[in-house]
Amino acid sequence: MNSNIFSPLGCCDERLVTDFVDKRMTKKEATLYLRKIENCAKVKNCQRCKKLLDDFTILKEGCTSMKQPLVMPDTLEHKLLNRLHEALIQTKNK
Amino acid sequence: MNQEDIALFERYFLEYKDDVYRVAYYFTRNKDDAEDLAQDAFMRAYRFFYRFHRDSNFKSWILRIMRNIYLTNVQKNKSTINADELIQSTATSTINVESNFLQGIQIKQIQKAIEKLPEDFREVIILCDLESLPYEQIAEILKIPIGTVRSRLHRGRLLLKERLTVHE
Ligand SMILES: [Zn+2]
Repeated sequence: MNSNIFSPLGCCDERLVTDFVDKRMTKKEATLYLRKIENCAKVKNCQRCKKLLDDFTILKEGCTSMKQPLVMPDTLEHKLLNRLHEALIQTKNK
Repeated sequence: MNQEDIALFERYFLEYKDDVYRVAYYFTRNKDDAEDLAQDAFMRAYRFFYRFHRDSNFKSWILRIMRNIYLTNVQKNKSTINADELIQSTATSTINVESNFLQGIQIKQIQKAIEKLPEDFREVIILCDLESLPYEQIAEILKIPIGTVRSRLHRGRLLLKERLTVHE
């Protein structure tokens, strides 16, 4: 991989942004992308891509913190297991 | 179904019941509907278990079944939309950040914003950001290409960002 790998894609390209935010880049790719963004701010005076990454990262963290420790209620679990066991008994009696 | 299949199905059930129930809850937004939906999903999965390819991923398969049942229910308008229960349970946490985006915004506001997203965006955000599933699995569940998963996520997040930004 060379450092031009991202050059055809714009700084705010959804492929780069989502892959970065969702940690689908290798360490090296992420470093290169961050460098591209830094450069974007310096050369093109573009703040958009940096802001997008920051905001999406915060948003994702917010969503992840919403994840609840939910488990299937025992009553439902037993009901479904009973149905399976009934089916099992039926096949054994066949 | 033979005894081996039933035993295998039971193993899958015990392994994934909580995941299935939790996603059902995110979809339906309340516990009663989540129970019904999870139950329907397991019953249908059981009925069609002979169609399940043994080398594929059971969790993706059953989540796909469940999502289809959910969408059918929504279309029939049978699903009751009740965001309050979901919101109450995590209402107190707040995010502290420097940016004006999300500043002082409570988790419940993010939840509300997610609730209001168009279904196509809401489901990818649920599967990716709440359930932490990889794009590949989301693509399998929704039967769409990975590129579409990515662009729906991106557009969904742009919408959320727009709706959650504090304009001063
Ligand atoms: Zn830029």
